[in-house]
Order: sequence, then structure tokens, then C-alpha cells
Amino acid sequence: MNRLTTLFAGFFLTFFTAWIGLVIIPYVQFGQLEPKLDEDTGDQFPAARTGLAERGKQVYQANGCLYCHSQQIRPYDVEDGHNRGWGARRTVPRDYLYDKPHVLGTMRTGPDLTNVGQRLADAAWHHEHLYAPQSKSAWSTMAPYKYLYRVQKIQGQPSPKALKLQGEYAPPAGYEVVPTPDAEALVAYLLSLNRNYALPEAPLE
Amino acid sequence: MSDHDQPHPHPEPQPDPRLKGIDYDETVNVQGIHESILREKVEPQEGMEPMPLWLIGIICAVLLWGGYYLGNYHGGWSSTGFDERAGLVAGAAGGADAAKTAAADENSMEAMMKLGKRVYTTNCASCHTPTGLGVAGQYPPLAASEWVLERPHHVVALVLHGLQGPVVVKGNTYNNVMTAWGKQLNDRQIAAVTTYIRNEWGNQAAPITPEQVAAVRAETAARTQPWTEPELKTLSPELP
Amino acid sequence: MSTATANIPDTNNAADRAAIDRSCRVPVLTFFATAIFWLLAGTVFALLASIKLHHPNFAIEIPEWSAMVIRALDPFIPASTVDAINGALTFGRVRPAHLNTVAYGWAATAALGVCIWLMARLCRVQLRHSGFVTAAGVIWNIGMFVGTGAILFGQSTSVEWLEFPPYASFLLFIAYALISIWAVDMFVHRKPGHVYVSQWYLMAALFWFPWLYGTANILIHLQPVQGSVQAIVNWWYGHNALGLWFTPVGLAAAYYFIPKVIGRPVHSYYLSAFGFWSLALFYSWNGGHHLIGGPLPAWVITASTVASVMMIIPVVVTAINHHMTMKGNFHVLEYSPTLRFVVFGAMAYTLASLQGSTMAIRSLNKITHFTDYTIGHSHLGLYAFFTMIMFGSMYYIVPRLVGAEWRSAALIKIHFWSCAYGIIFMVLILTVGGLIQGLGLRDANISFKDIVENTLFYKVVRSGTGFLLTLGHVVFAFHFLLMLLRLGRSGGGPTLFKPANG
Repeated sequence: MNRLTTLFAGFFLTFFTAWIGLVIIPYVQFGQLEPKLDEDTGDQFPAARTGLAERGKQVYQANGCLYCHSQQIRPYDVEDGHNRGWGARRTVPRDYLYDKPHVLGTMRTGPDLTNVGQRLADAAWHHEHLYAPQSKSAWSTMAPYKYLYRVQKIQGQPSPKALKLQGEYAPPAGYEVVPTPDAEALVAYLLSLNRNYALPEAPLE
Repeated sequence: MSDHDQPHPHPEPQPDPRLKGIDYDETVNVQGIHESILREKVEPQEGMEPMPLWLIGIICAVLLWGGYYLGNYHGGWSSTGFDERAGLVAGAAGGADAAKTAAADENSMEAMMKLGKRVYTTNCASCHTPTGLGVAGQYPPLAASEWVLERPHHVVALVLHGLQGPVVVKGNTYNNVMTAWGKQLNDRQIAAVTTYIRNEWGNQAAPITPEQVAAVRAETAARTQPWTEPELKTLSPELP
Repeated sequence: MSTATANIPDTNNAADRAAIDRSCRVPVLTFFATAIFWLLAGTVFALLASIKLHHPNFAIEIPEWSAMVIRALDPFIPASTVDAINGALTFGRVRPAHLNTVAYGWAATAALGVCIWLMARLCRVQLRHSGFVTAAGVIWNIGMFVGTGAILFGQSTSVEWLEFPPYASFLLFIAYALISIWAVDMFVHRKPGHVYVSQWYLMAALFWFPWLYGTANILIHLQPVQGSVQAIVNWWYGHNALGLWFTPVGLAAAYYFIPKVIGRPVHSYYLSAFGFWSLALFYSWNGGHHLIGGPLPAWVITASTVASVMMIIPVVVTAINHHMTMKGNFHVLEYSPTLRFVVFGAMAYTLASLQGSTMAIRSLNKITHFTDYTIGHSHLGLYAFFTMIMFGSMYYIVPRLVGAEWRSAALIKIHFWSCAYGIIFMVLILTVGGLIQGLGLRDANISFKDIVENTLFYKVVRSGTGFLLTLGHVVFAFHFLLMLLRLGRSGGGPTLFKPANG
């Protein structure tokens, strides 16, 4: 093994086979999927995200939400007794068709968010939770995202978008907390997260 | 042994005083080689001990396990083969699962309660809470609710199409919006979840079947807006 | 191939070695100095992230007085700067900043420095094109600054191990590719003779990493493929950065320094060769074990699980090789800092890899996935194995580059013990906490609130272990600075843990 050519051939072949196996073949086998179309309603699964929700995904990425929250349902998450209401079935490649980049996550410091848009369908709840997570769950160790919100003086009428906060989380009298466009986009993204539809390869349990 | 425990076998060369001021390249010291490099041993070499036989045994055992696992848990090698147990010959794990779902009566009370609980936890618990008590002033309770126990036709209809406007539940008024679930949940799931809420938290009432849900779905197919309470009351409270 | 006793100083070749070391001075010290800078930066981010996990309101915004000052300076400094800085402090950005500064800033930079010196020594020629190599180091560090800033100020791609946006990762790629090309040039111009095992590992790593980094960046950032394929490419890359870049450099260093310091040949060429090629064959298939249960066909996961268990082969082979080399020489660990750090690392390598093989089995993975158990494992690998070996390597190399001995044995002792205890306790606490978390997640009767509250204690203790590691790093950085400033000891034998006899 003293010649560059011998060594190089070895380095190349060993690496090449795994590159084919884990990169090329997956791309060929499940890298060109199409959404499922419901003939009756014309609905598409997964649905393409609206512009606001897509922008919200970028906010999700910029703030590293996936370092605490996963977005994948494993088969063991659905098997009897283990379901926390996180999903009605395991997730499959087609569910992530439009996720570029993917945000599957590798930690469950916080709950899984695959179907949070269905489980927690209230935009106001999300805003209050993002601004002050402990106001919704006192035990939560989630970071507050105050910088995604603006505390402003109430001009005449309170803004319809103002967050309803109480106690120590409420702004001083005469002030209100309103979401920035980034916060609104992020919540639109969270509300769009719903993969509880059936697919031919993934029936609902 | 290591760098230290013998005195250096070579003494530091002492510069010859007669050579003071003359720079001769031969003198090791003049090259300014630091002590740390001088005391180093030779560059590493490789011994030629053979591989022990028992190690070869371990290697073969690991390879055999690998072959067995790869051969059994490939899930069909296909892009939609997500269950690794699908390829199992003995069918122990996969078979048991299939047997479980096939043999169990799909519409037995037990199965419906189980499915109903799952549907409830996924979709309803966030507002109506896991204890069925709702949230005062916001989301009506389901436990001991006269709607749930006495008005199954209304309940199925509002699960299908949603509810809005003021409603009175257990003497309290709620004015909120409930999502329509008819598109997201099929008849079996709605039958299961309504059966569940009618038999949990101390409630006890007759189960609801998927056929009954299908009938209500057909009956109310023309509806596009969430119900209001007065509109719901035009339907009979009992399922037809 | 084994020589008669190699256990005496080799003064015959000292002049050659000195010339090689002199030629390495600027490039290698550039990499080492910047690596230690990033180690400190990464340690700060680590402390922040760790504390925020149990005290989420810690350091979430700059003090009100500074915010008022910035706002008052509007429009010279826009008022939105306050939000930008507060954003940089959030866990979701500090955590990837930690990963990237310790992985690419500390570990990879140190690896490149060690790699360059080892290549020069093993080729037995002076470092060629040193300006080229130093330039690569500068480009690498520019990329690091740009990328880390990008993460902190909201431009992270949020793909683990690939958070640097393309405009930063491109710089890293160029710098690395330059080193790879340099290495081939060195190898081609080497002094003829046997190619030692360390060099196979180094050449392989330098060949594999650009392919890995390029493919991953192209398929995820530049020409994005669909989500699930991105996931497997992501973790094919992420695991191979560990297995085909860091591991080979770590093993190359261990294979060099262990026999070098004790003055004995490595036990068996056959074990070295078999260990190397089985690693090359199996390691690159491991990536899917990060996605067990995830949205991928079963065959991908199974292939990765099998490969992960196959890794037992190269790991056991290498462990035997190292152990048999050390046999009869363990007492040297009482004296030599280099040997102690490197052997600690080599043992941690065996432990981490065997643990990894078990974690890839689906039934254990059900419990450990998504928990702190995985975090414990990754620190066992990247810190207890790789970082400790890098420390040991630097303790050997730096005196030869600056021409002075390490100034203080006490500082080295503090460094070793705070890092050793720090990482051992960190891994233990994360492992136990992770199991509690994982078992809790598997039981739907245990509410999420209970899981969070039950694991809080472990997170607090982990922060404590982080302070131990910080102490070690600060001490080491200070000691290194003394060496750079020519304040090392100018003679009198190596700086050892215990005074040498006689």
C-alpha cells in the first residue's frame, strides 16, 4: 500500500459504493415524488404552503426551532399507548415534498410539531406562547421570542392583533404587544403543519 | 521507556573555546535544534504480529449477524416499504400485527373507544381538554353535557360542519367557532370519536356507527357554513 | 519491519526533523492558534446554550440601558439592532453557533493543523508551499467568521452540521480543497519508504471530506432535492464528517503519538491495515441511523443499522492494536501529557463507537432517539475522543514549533483533570437524563410537563460539568498563548506530570 494509485483506488471505491447507496439510489427511488390528488375535491396532499407560511418556515429555520422540536412521527409514536396526540399515522417521504430544506429535527426537548396546526389551531394561542411560553405552560423551558414582537403605545383603539397577556407577562398599562410580520409568518407556518391526511402508502391508523 | 527516565545517552556537545566566534555548520548545536526534537525517538514503525484467531471469530460472527439482519429487515427494498418487518419469513412480528387488526372486530366497542380516544387526543383535546371539561367561557365541556348525551344527531352534524354563534351548554353560554372536521375525518373516525365522548368521563350512552355518520353526512351535504344553534335545532336530537 | 529497540533518542535524524518542524511553524501555528480561539468561542456558546435549557429566561435580551442607548443613536444605528442582538442570543441560534464553532472552528481547524504537521513528518520532507497552506488557513477562518455571524443574525440554514449559508461554506470548501491538493503534492514528493498507517488515514480523510461537503451543500442548499432525500443526504454527510474526517485524523494521531512517545512499534501491521479498510468500507453507510423511525424506506435504515453494527469490527481491531502496543508501557501515562491525553482519547473512541453500534439497533433507538442520550454520545465522540487527542497532539507538537517547553506542569495537570472529569461527568449525566427522558416519552401516561420537570436536574448538572471544561480550556489557551509569546521554558527536559527520575 505504498502507491498513491492503490490507496486512491481503495479510498474511491469504498466511498463510492456508499455514496451510490445512500445518496444516488434514494434520489432515484423516492426523490421525484408527486403530491396525491383527491379526484373528488381537487385537494392536494400535501398542500403547497401559502406564501406567508413559506416565509414563516424561513423564520422557523432562522431561529433554530428544530433544535428542540422534531417534525416526524415514527411508527412507535403511534403504536398503542404511545400516542400523545402528535399524529394519527407515521410520516412518509411524501409528507416532506415541499420542505426544502427539511426540518425533521433530532431532539424532543419540546413536543413534536408535525401536526401542531391541527392540534393547536388558534393563532392567538401561538402568538401568546411564542411571546411568553411560561404564560401557557408554567413549567415550560422554551425560550421566549420577545424580539419577534413589538411593545407599542396604544394609539386610540387597541390593535386587533394585540396579544392578550395577563399578569407578569402583560405589558405596562397603556401599552400593547403586537406581532411583527415575522411572527405572523411563523404562526401561519405553524398553523399549516398538518399531516393527518391519509396516503395510499400511509393509511391513517 | 519514555522521554525522561534515562539520562540522555549523548552529552550536550560543549563548544570548543578555541572555536569561539567561528560558525561551523557541523556542530549540532549551531543548527539551533531544540532539545525536544533531539530527544525524540525514531518515527513510529509497525510490528508484524498476526491477527489473533479469536478476533477472526468475532469478525465472522458480526458479519453473519449483519447478513441475517439485512436479509430479514429490508421491508421489500421498495420506496414505499416503510415497515421493516414486512419481509419477515416467520411473520412473527408482522403477522401478529396483521392478525391483531384482522381478527379484532373492527367495529367492536373496544376498537371504537380506542380509535375515538386517538382521534379525540389529536383533534379535540386542545380545546375541549383531555378531561372533557372544556375551558370556562371559551370551550364547552363534554363531560355530563346534555348535547353529548341527549343530542347525538346534533353532535354528529356539528362535528361534520362546525359550529358558531352563541350556544348554551349546561346552563352556560359559549360564543366561539368550532372547526368543521368532515373533510379531515372519515365516517369511521367521527363515529369513533362521538362514541368515545359519549362513554368517557362518567358519560354513558349508546355508541354511534359509521353508517349513521354516513347518513348524516349525506343528509347535510348541502351545508357549507358552520351551524348555529337555532339551525341545528331544526334537526331531530336523536339519530334517525 | 519492526526495528530493534526504538527506545532511544534518534539524534541521527534530528536535523531533518528540525528542518521539517521549522518549515511547519507558521502554517501549523496559524491553524492551532485560530483553533484555540474557536474553542473558547465555542465554549462560551456551549455555556449559554446549556444554561438556557434549564433557565430559558437567561440572557434573552441585552440590558435595558444598552437598548436605550442603541435606540437613542437611531438613525446612525438603526433601532432594529436591538432586536437583531436579542435574536442572536436565542437558544435556537446559540446552539448551532456552538456546534459550528466547536466542530469546524475548533475540531476541524486543530485537525488540519495536526494533519499538516503529521503529513510533513511522515513524508519526511519539509513542508512545501507554506504560503499556500497558511492562505488556506486564513480563508478557512474568514469562512468561520462569516458563517458564525450568519447563524447568529438569522441566516442559518437550520440543516444540522450544514448551518453555514453557501457564501460561507464555499470558503470552507475552498480552504479545505487547497489542503487536500497540498497533501497530494507532499505525498508525491515524499521520501521513498514504507507508508505508515497514519498516512493512509490522513490521505483518505483529505480525499473524502471535499466530496462529502460538496455533495451535501449542492443537494441541500444549491440544487435542493426533496425533503426526505435531503434528510438522508444530511445525515450521510453529518455522520461521515465524524467517521471519515474526524475519526481518521484522531486515529492517525493516536497511531503516531502512542508508539512515538513510548518508543515501541505499533503491535501489528495486519491489524492496522484491516482496521483501516474495514472502517473505510463500513463507516460511510452509517448515516441513516440518525433517522431511525423517520420518513424513509425501511431498507435505508436497515442498511445503516447493519453498517453501524459492523463498525464493531474496525473498532475492536484498532483497540487491540493500540492496547497491545501500550502493553507493558502503561506507566508512561504517569509522566507524559501527550500520551495521557491521546490514550484517554483512544479509549473513549472505543467506548463511543461501541455505544454507537448499540444505539443503531431499532429497539434501543426507540428509547434514546430525540433525547439527551444522543447528546451524551456525541460529546463522548467529539470531545472525549477527538478533542482530547487533539490536546495531546498539540502538547507534543507546539514545543517543536516554538522551540521552548511548556512552562508549567501545574497548568497541564489542571487542564487534564478538569477536562477529564468534566467530560466523564457530562457524558454520564446526559446518558442517565436521556434515558429518563426517553422512557418518559415512550409512556403516554407521563405528561410532557413531568418529563421536563424530571430531567431538569440533569440539565443543571450538565451546566456544572460545562464549567469544568471551561476551566480546562481557559488554562490551556493561556498556556498556549505563553508559548506563542515565546514565554515557554527554554530547556531542561520536557514538561511532565511527574518529575523524571534522575
